[in-house]
Amino acid sequence: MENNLSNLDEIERFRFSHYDTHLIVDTSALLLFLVGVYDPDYVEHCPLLTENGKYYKKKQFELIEKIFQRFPGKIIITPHVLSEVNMLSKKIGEEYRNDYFLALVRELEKHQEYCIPLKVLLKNGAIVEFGFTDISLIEAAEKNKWIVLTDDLRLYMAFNTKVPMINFNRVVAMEQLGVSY
Amino acid sequence: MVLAAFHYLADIIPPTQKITDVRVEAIQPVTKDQKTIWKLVLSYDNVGDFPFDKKREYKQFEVDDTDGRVLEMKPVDGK
Repeated sequence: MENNLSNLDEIERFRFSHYDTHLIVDTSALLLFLVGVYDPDYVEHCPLLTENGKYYKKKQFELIEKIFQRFPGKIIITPHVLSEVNMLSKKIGEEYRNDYFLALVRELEKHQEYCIPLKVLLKNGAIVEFGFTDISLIEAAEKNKWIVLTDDLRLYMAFNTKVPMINFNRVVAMEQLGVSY
Repeated sequence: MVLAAFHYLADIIPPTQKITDVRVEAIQPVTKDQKTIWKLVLSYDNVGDFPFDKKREYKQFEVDDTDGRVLEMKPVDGK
């Protein structure tokens, strides 16, 4: 199984050969998508997507939207990710927050929730290094043969040989370099 | 900037060491001292004496946007 999906072509091919697979989404990637769904022009003004080493713009939202479109009805969100999204979303400017949360509710209704039992998470030694959210993604992906979408390079480095992963930074890089997709 | 980083990497790798499957993992423009710097991450297989003896390594580069000079290279540590 190809574990490193670098561009939309590869993701598309993977989808055809693994029809039942789902996409399980990490917090930052989901935030980029949700803020973009709320207002694509707000992405580059949103502190959550432009601070702490992030530099997302409307173009990156359009790219992640194309990835989401390749998994209709098959987007998975864990409660751990949702909790982080909720907490981080409070940093969105007050003037935008109500409309943003309404858009978030409308969008999340389209997706599925999946919960890994606490006892399972606690048995995973990598919890100490990566925390509950990251390990919930890896456990769910490993158990169900799903694909993880993340922009966390260290998470990707640690687990891309174990479960199929999309390193969103790499998809962005391929797009910037003009690699066809 | 990718080529600059790649050539830099190729130059510093000792002739006895073999690398394969070089990939671009991330590219990001950042502003530093009012200059645009490209931060990019390359990964590659560091192949040992035997084909099965290989390890994926990740290096982060900072490349000057104006002249393509590599300003810094450092390993990316896993958590």
